[in-house]
Amino acid sequence: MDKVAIVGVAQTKYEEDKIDQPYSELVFEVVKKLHNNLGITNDDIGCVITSSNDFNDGRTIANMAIQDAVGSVRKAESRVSGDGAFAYVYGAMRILSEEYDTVMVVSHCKCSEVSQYLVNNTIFDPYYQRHLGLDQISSAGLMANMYMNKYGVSEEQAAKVVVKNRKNALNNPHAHLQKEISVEDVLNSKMLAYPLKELDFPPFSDGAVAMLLTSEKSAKKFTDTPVWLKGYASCTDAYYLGHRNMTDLIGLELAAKGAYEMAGISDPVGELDVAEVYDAFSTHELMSYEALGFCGKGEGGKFMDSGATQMNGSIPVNPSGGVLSSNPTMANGLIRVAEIVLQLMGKAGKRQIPNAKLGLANGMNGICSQGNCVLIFGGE
Amino acid sequence: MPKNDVAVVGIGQTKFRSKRRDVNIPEMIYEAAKMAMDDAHLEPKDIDAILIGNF
Repeated sequence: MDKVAIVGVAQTKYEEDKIDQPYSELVFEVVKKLHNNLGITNDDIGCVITSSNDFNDGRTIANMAIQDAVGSVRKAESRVSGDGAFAYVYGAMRILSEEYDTVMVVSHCKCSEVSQYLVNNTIFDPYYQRHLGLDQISSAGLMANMYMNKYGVSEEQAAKVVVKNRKNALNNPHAHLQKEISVEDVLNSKMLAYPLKELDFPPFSDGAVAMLLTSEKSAKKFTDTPVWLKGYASCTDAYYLGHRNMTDLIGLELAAKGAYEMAGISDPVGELDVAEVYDAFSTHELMSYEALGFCGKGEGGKFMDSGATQMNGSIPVNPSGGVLSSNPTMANGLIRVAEIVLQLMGKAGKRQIPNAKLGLANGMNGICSQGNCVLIFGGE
Repeated sequence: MPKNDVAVVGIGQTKFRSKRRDVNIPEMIYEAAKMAMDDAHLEPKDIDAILIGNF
C-alpha cells in the first residue's frame, strides 16, 4: 500500500456545554489551532473532509454551516454523515488517489444542543422499532445483559473499565470528565438499563477534532514525526438488532481481521503498543477486547482483571480516557485516531506510552457496533 | 491523472417519477441495485464494498 501520513492534530477541550460557541466557532477553533500548530494557512490545504450528523446540527447538508470555518469555499469538500474515523478513511483515499497532496479531516459535535436520546431514537426504523423507545441506553442494556449472561462477565469487571478510563482521563487535558471514581461508585450509581448503570455510560460532550493528512512525499515538510496508515478495514453488521448476534461484536471482529491482514499483524497484543477503542459503554470495551483479538471470546472480563489494558499493561487501552470520559458522539472515532497519532509522535504528555510504535484506533457508527472500522497506524 | 484506472462495469436506474406508491424505499433501491448487478452479471456475493449516497 502507498503511504498516507498524518502530520498534525488539534482538539478542543471536551466539555458539557460550550454555550458561548455555536458549532461553526467550535470547528473554527480546531482548524485555526491546526493551522497554528503546523505553521500553515488555508492555501496549504488541498481538500477538506468533514464529519457530523444532520440531527445534531439541526439542518440538512449540515457541512454547509461550517464551510467558512473549515475554509472550504471554492475547494473540494465532502462530508461523511457518520463517525469521524470514517471521514479519516475518506481523506486517506483522497491522498491515495494522488489527486490531493494534503487533506484536512474535521469532525465535531455539540451534544448539548439537542436531546441525544431523541437523536439516537431516530436511528431505529420509523415503523416498528422507534415507537418502542429504543435508544443507545436501552439497546446497550440489551446487549450487555445478553453478553454478561452468556459469558459470566460480572458488573464489577465492567465497572473496572470505567475506573480505568476515568483515571486515564486525569492525564488528558482535553478530557471532559476528570474525576477519579471507584468500582463502588459505578456499582452504586443509578440503574439506567439493567445491568448498566449511569456510570457505565459516557457523558455527552461538546467538542471538535481536526487533523492534516499528506502524501508520503510531502509529510516531512510539515513534521519530523509523521504517523503512517498501516492497515484498514471496515464491516457493517445487520441493522435490526434482532438480526444480530448481540453477544459478540462480529462486525468489529471482521474489520479487525482485515486491518490486521493488511498491516501484517498476527499477534495483536504482542505487536501493538497501544489501542484506542470506541468504548460506548463499559461492557462494550470488554466485548471490543474480544473482537479485536486481544483475548478469547467471553474472556473480556478476565482480560480486564489481568491488568493488561492498564497504562502499564501489555496493551494499554484508551490512554485518552476513551469515550467514557469524553463523548462528542460524531467525533469519537476521529478522537481515537488523534490520540494514537499523539502517542506515536511521542506527544501524549503525561499519558505517553513509552516507545509506542504501532497503534490501533477504531470507529463506530450506529447502535451497538453496527458499522465498524479498524485502523492501524505506525510511527517513525 | 489518477494512479489506477477505475472501471464502471454495470449500471442500473429506476424510472424517475413524482410518486412511486408501488414500492417502499428499500424496494426502490433494490430495483436499481438489481439492475446494476444484472447488467454486470454479478451477484451480491461478488461485491466487496458498497457506497450509498442519499439525502
